[in-house]
Amino acid sequence: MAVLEVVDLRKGFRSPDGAVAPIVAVGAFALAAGEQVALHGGSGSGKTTFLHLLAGVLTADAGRIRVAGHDITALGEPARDRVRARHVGYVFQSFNLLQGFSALENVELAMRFGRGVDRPFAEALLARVGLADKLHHRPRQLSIGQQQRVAVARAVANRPELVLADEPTGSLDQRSARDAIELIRETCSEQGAALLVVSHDRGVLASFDDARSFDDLNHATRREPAAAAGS
Amino acid sequence: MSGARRAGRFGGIALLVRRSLRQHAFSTVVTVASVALATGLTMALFAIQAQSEAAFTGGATAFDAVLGARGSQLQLVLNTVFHLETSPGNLPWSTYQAIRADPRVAEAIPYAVGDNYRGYRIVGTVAELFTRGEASRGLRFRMATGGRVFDSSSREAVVGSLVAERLGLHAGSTFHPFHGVVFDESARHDELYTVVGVLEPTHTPSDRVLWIPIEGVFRMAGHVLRGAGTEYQPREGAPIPDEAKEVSAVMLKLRSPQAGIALDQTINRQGKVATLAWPIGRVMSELLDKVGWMSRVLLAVAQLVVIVAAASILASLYNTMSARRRDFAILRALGAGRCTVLAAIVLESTAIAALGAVMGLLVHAAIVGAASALLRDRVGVVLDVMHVTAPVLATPVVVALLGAGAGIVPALRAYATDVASNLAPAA
Repeated sequence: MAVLEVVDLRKGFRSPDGAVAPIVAVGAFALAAGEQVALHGGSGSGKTTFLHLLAGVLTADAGRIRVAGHDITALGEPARDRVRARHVGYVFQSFNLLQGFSALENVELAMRFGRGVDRPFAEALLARVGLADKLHHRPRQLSIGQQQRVAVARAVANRPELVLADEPTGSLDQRSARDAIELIRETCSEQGAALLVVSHDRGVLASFDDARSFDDLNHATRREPAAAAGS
Repeated sequence: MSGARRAGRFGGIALLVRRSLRQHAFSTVVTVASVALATGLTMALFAIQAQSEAAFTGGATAFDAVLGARGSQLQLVLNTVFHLETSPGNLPWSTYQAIRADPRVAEAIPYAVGDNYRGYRIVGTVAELFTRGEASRGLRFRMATGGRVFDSSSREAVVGSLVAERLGLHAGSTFHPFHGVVFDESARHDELYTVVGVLEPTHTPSDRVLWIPIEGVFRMAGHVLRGAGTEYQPREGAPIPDEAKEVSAVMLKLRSPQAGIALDQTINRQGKVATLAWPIGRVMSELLDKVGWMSRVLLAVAQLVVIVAAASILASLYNTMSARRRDFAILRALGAGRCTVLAAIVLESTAIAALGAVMGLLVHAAIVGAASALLRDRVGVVLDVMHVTAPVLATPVVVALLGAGAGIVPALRAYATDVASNLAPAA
């Protein structure tokens, strides 16, 4: 069964002059359980907005999104928050962590909003990403790469069916980037989570068997020149 | 399951609050301290107001009334009960004898004032004060071990506990009285008095007095008696005729309140020579009523300070909101609801206020303790520091509620944080 299903998704932003500029228009997209897909596209292609819609952080103008069997486009905000807490892990480009909290506390805090704190699992996850000796370090005391690894551990802390990663290597050098993407992919397959990565980094994309162009998927950007000419 | 999740979420909120207080430790400490000062100040003012009123109107003496020279009742009470101010004048000995013989009077103790020892007042009186009288209602004068009451015809003294403590006097110590109520090195009397007894603390103004036989005041060199209308100088060894003697005041215990009404009528309304201050508590409460607006103003100021402290919680939290937008966005991305974020901020401000309120108890204790020590030193009345009244108890509760209220404005800002726009990489 698909953990993610998108049908006729539309999202636009109202510009100051009142016109609605379409950002996302995706006809059909799906991820099967454990499937790993990379989407590439330039900046401004709407791929971050697409992830925000999938995570339920933004609401769609039209269309359907099903995450782990929940139609989040039919849910109110508190219910979407609960679906996100239980079924979706999220890795951002950088500054993923809460500053006042140690690595372990960052992972456990995610658990508190999801399935509940499971300290042995949290420690095991941090050990898995190579931070067994840095459980009680604050983000400040970790390198950017190490912070990103905490974020990876945290993303799978609630055993989600789906992990979304938005330019997860954007702040890393090439070698760290390769390591980071490998770590995300391995961790997701070990935890049985499907993975959707968006990136403009060709090196990242090369490591995926299934790398697609978001521009091919998103009709909104393809129409943009026409819309611009029309206005 | 849902209960456990709710508990987990609450634990998450509590953790967020604890971490935030620690992360903004400086601002936390300053805000908590300002709340503590405001709370303590308000509590202390409530307590001091209530306690000093009780102490000044009720607890200072066991006598019902004071009979003195024609003049102000307040001056009479301040002079004889609180040992402040000066005596309004003297009464002839015959007046003392007459009031003492009055069937409506249960007890009459004469005072003769006008001397001091190192600023502490000397009062001439009779031994009955200690053998039959009370320091305050229900509390008899008690002599510390080894002491006894003075002998009426000797140069002996019984001293109050505070005088003994401050001047290091004990049974066997000697001292020269000084003339006047203000200590003046050059006004020394030649007579040497011996302390024969130290009184146990009574927590009344009596603790600040040195008591000597009234005969000793009459015979002090340089004192002139005018009881008979003409000046009379006592001679060593010869008895003083009663008509020459004078007293500064007569302390009275009455048999009934009706006696007070009747005496008030005869002495104050019809008489022309003497003043009866009765009841003593009424005289003092009239004074406190006149100066009461001052303490009400102080209280209003303290309450304003509490509001300012609540506002400072609001401001300090509000200012961190922009810096914490990304934290809120991360929390929301982890699945925390808007209400969780809102609750965390309200709880944070409540925690600051509650911490401040608890510290305020210490500030309160310190202020009341200091005020109490000062009042005991200067006036001799002792505040019942442990006595807790409803307004004193209500203050920390109100402060905590104000703190919760102060959190609402910044919390609404956190509540409104837009997740998507704040997840973008920080520049």
